[in-house]
Amino acid sequence: MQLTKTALSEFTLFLLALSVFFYLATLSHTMKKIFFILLSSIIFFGAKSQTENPVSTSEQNKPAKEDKGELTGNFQTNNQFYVRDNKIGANTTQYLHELSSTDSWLFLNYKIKGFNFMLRYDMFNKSPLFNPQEAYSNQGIGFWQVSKDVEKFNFTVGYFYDQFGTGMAFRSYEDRTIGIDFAIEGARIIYHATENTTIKAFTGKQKNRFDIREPIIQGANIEHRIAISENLIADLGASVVNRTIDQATMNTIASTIMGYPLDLRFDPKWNVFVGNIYGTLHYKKFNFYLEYDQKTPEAIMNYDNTLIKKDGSIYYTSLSYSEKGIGINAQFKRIESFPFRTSPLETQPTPNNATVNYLPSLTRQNTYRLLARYNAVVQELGENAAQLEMTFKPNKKWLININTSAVTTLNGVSNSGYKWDESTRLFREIYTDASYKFSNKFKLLLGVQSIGYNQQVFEAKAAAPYVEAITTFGEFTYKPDHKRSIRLEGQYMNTAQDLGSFVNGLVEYNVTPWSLAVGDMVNFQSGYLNKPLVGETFELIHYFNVFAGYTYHATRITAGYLKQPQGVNCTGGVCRVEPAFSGARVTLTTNF
Amino acid sequence: MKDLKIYLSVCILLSIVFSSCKEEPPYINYTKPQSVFDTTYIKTPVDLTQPKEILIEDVSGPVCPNCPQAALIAKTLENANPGRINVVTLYPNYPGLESLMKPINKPGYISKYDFRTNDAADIISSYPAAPSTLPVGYINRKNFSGNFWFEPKENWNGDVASELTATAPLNIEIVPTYNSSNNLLNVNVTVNYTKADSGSNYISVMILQDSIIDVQETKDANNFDIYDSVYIHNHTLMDMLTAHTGDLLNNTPAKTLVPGRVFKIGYQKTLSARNSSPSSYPQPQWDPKQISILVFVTQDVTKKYVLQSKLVHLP
Repeated sequence: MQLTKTALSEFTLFLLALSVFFYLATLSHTMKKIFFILLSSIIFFGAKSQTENPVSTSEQNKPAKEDKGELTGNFQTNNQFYVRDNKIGANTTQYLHELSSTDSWLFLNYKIKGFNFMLRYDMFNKSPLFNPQEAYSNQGIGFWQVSKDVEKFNFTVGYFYDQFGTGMAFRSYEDRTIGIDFAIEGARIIYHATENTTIKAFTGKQKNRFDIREPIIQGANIEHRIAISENLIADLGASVVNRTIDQATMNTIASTIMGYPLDLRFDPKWNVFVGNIYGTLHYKKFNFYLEYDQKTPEAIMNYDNTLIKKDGSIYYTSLSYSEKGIGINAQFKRIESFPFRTSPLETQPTPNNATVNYLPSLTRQNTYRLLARYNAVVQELGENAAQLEMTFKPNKKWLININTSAVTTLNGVSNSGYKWDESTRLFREIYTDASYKFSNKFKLLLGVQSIGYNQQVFEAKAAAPYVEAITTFGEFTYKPDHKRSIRLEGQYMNTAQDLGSFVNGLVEYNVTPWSLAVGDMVNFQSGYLNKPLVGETFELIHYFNVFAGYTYHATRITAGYLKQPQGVNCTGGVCRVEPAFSGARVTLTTNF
Repeated sequence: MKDLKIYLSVCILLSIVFSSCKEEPPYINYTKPQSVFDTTYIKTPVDLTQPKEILIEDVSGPVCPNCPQAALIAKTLENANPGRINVVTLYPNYPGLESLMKPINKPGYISKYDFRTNDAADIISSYPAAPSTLPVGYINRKNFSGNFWFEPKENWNGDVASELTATAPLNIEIVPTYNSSNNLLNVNVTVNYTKADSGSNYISVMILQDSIIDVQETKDANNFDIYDSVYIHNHTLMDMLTAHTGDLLNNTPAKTLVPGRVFKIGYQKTLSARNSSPSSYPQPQWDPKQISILVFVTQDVTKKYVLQSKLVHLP
């Protein structure tokens, strides 16, 4: 490879940045904070001075393409004010002691001459975000990154987010709505070998709030596209990821194992390797995806909260067909013993704690409040999941969606066939909706959802029976002009299990730049878990909400007062059980 | 075709790079506890709590000229707090300390014994960081500094003073007997909880030996390094009757650590010739007249904190 003179000087700059990184690694946390506050000030004021300096005549005569850098960013703050409500179980520490909480993020990105500097300042005050049972307070540099493109290479040091393929072998990501920030602090190289081939390699440690988890994670991935013929294209990929346990963690694992009876003891592994191969075949209107992941034996936390030594595997396939007016997608996934964490002991405070990979859920991601009440949390120790999605658009007025999915334990699918009974069933959903566009002003959507949900498994409620719920729903939208719209939505969910039946209604009025909504979800009939005691009668429980939003250019402010029941909260297929909420939420987001 | 070659080459390279050699697993004890009996019951009324005894694990080596000073500090603490201080001297067969541990072979000063034991090495290896210089000691296996469990000898007085104010949730009673006709050592231990404790508790039983005379590097009055050929090595760890991490006391959920919980455990060992020296030098042989038994209970293998300890000499 021949580097140009400019590229060489830029590479020197990158090496300088790399040296700074390794120097920083030796600094204390406080010193790092001071360094990055200085760095961000330099970046900010440097950018400001560049924009404010009057342009001289000679400079005006220079070619206009000179890179003067670009500073962008965003700010988000979420504030919650807690109003205790024992009736719905809203009584965690924030309701008893702190009464309010704030989570804020300021993200800055400065690009100049192929360099990319990123910095994020995080603040959590009395926050339940990482652990719903805890009031966590801390603030500081939550993310920083320096990256540089040098011809076919990209070099990154600091924190980074990335994933290999679907993420089942490795995914480093942030999902701040449920308190996930699994950035890797380390170094990464991406090499675009050809226009069809990309190779990545990284090494580092996983972020843990403002600290890091000691085990080392490293991996490499290659993706390659082959055009076999005009109609047949193959996208292939392969990855290897390695995690090495640190001494302190291994001591704890070893001591835990030595607490077991002799016949249950085993030699834990310092290293675990995950390898996968995956590929997509594109043939005309068909797409066929196939992935296999294998994990070498290591200590994993079993159902009974004891460590066992086991290897793991995942099979994942999907077949889709798409043309004008119709789309079909069928998926199947089998997971066997595939928890992949920085340490097998990191299973608290939430089940997805310290995960190195991401196991996607093969169930529909619903948005309506009652339809999203029951979600299938992926069972990393073992599950079979299948999903079929179909979309029909026979003409411009009609749109029909059909979705069905089923999740069973490992025994649900075996050589002897498919088994769906009390011992194997975890989740099933049958969903359909149809929307009809009467005109450009009126639109109506109606649908029905049937859910089966194993609450014992997904929410660890030992005595909870299998939930069977049917929900009908509808939405009506009226848009008299391009500035105003009214939306009405309603759902009626009938079930005899869990907390019983609910009805939910919402009226939303949008008039640019305002958005106003009021709604109420009513628990009008008790279920198995909230049956009134003998001699008592069931009282209606209202989970009402009032909401207002205002948008000004790139800034949006929202305020709402709401109540919501305990349940599984999922975003992007990653879920966690969250306690009930009662109180006010005020948010502000802005981009610049 | 060129792209495909790159792809296949990288796939092969990935598998080579990440295919590792066989790794050495951490220590896991697969041996059955050496106890000859093990019973438990709840006793009422609950006994009174004995004063807490402090365990000093003095990591020492024959080629460590400052180690005798540490031994002296431990001895002074023993004398100042009769019945409250229990000392064991560890000579770990640990590669990082080999230069300080190996027997001395200098003109006129040749060691008779190799004191090193694997038990001592396993103990110091079980901490996140092992010491690289000596002397250091573990005081009740408490992490005073927040960084390392081992403490320099200069800190021992303060550490012991703070631990002397602590209370123990359990009492320990040791009844050792020795049958010289068959060299059989019996150690009957009673652990009696006077307060509740949570988590896992481990019992460790060590056999120590005093008055082993051998060469030791030390300091003279002018602080010059010298060799003392008649140095008396006391409290030397000879063997353990439990795993180096200790054996789990509450090894079934039924064995709750509630006030009144009593564990009665019997250990047995034939004091046969010792011949597992890591070098050509022999290990010190058993001298029943100089043997003492040290028993202590730790909070759990991660925290390691010693809840109570007791030392008795073989009658």
